[in-house]
Amino acid sequence: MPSPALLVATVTLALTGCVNQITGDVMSDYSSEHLIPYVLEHGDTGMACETGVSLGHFLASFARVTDDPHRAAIPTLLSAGVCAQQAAFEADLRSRRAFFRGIASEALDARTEEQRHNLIAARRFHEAWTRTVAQYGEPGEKCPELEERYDELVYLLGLVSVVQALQHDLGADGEAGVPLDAPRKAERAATCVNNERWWGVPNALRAVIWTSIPGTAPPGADPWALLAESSALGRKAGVRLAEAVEAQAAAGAGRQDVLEAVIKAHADALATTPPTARWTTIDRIATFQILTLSDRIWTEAEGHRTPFGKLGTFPSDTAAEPDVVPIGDGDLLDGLVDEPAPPAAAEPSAAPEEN
Amino acid sequence: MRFSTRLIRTLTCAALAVAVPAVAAAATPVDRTLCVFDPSGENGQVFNLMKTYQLEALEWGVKFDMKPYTDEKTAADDFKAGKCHASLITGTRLRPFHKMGGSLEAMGALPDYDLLRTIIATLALPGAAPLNQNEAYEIAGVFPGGAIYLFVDDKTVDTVEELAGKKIATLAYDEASKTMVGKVGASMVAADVGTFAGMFNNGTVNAAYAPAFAYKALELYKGLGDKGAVVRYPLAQMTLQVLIRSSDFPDGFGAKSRAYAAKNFGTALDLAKKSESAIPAKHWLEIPDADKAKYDLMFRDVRLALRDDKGLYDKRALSLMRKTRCKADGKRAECADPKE
Repeated sequence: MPSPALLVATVTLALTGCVNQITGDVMSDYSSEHLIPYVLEHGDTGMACETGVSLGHFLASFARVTDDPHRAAIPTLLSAGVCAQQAAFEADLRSRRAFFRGIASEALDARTEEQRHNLIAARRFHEAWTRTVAQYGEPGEKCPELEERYDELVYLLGLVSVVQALQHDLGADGEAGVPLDAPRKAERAATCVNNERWWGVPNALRAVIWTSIPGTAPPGADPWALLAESSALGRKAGVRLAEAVEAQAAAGAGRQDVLEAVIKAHADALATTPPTARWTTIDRIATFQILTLSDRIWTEAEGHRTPFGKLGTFPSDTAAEPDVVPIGDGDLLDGLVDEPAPPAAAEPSAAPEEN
Repeated sequence: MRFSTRLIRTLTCAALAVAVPAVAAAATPVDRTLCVFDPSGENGQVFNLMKTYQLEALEWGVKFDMKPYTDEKTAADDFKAGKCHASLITGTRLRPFHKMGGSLEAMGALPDYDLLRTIIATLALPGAAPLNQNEAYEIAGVFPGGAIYLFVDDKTVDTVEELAGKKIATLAYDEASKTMVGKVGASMVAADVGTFAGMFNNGTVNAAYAPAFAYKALELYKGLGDKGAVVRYPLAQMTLQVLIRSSDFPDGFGAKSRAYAAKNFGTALDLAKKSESAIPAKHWLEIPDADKAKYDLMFRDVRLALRDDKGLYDKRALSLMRKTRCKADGKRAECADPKE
């Protein structure tokens, strides 16, 4: 007969396990039903990424006591990836500034810092993708059953993640080990998500993969036309993530004309159309990515990032002085400057009267 | 041979010794003080705008130590006393130093921002340099500060005639406004920047004039209440001007600074426009075009009086602004009968 103490200990342990399991299930459901929708609506991208970093392990650890909470972990990891991505982008800008000033040692240091952040970003994004595969199955001939709208969103975020993962891993010399065939799989999987409902992002993802991996485009497909079409859908919906994808594609392909046009279109859209409230954070992440690309253009030409409030303008505009209205040949001055200056304005002794 | 080689080497070193400090001196910016008027001080929008200007000025060979002034008179006085090499103050405040610069804020001379933009761009042209110079003083850039609007406590007072007898808070140092108030037959109540809003809000005066910024910042909406309005026709354009003593600055500084200000007109204007968009539609009072034409004539009479009788406005500035108005709209009555 077991001793009472052993019995109490056994029951306590069993109950603790139950409590942990219930807590895990509750946390997973709470995250997908409340936390993540709240974060996506709030609009503060910095808090979103910090939330991903601080809660990522906490949420994922419930896999030890109950089902692995992939549906909650995927957006969380994507958010954490965005944090590392921001750090990588900042280091890249520092490197470009140093290069602009001709300081090789600092440029190299910043470049190394960027690679380190790239590695972290790649790992986070890649884990978001592997969890997507674990939750919904390997992308193949058949589409997964995405039961709820939330599942569609999570699946889409998983696809976004893998494209980002590969991009950052390439910037970290492949250290994260993101499989090179992952984007091809994502390209096929993107057809499983409703393009119009998700602001043109699925098609934009397919097109960016076509532009970056030779041989992936279907015969006769025009990736740039599809990207433009997707961006237009995003603008109309007030969630302009497809524009960020198009801008990334243009930057990657060296299409400066497209890149500048997309940046300009994005800035114009921001001025006229507020983000759709429910997806404000996603829209602002898109703006951040586009602003970063604009910052690169500015930094390379001028040594500093995009002047505040000037997204949509470019250093090349500065030469044309867009802010100065056409004033002809200065004929307004005719007959004015030849006249003698009037007597010295009251010497400052007469200056400022009262107050 | 050896001697000549040594001589050449010595001469080369000597030449370098002379040249290097000269180059170094040219590359080292001079330290100067810029006194900036911003009612909100160092954290204000104007001071913030000038932080970017400060960085640009490094490129023109000047390292500015910027000092915030919440009181404009002190900023002007300190400039006058030589405590500041440059100052950023409003056109009206710098009129005693530079009549042309002060005249840019002439009554009703620039009824919209496009006209102001053209004026600022024109004054930044190299050919306009003499206009920017007044003996020792030079206007080294003009930024838009926002249009000045009339705030009235009764929106039925929507014609000039109805302003007769009303009490208007008037800045004591602003001769032009005093003349204008007299012209419309209103009664002037002396005020300063720190008191006029309180006077309007507690009903001491029936009207006051201010940029849109004051609607929120000085809570002028309290004085407007349900019956008041902001008359949407600029009385004048407030400008923020960089005033320098030319001899304290490297050659060409003023021209570069003016070009910068002209190029960044939009950035400065955005600040003013944001303030205007913060005024709800219910508080704006639109003026019919026919009435605007009447206002224009009245404004012109006041400007001519201030130019000819009081010597307050610069003839060339008024002429430049008239030409600009006529270039934008040749059908204006004054274009057939130019008196400015």
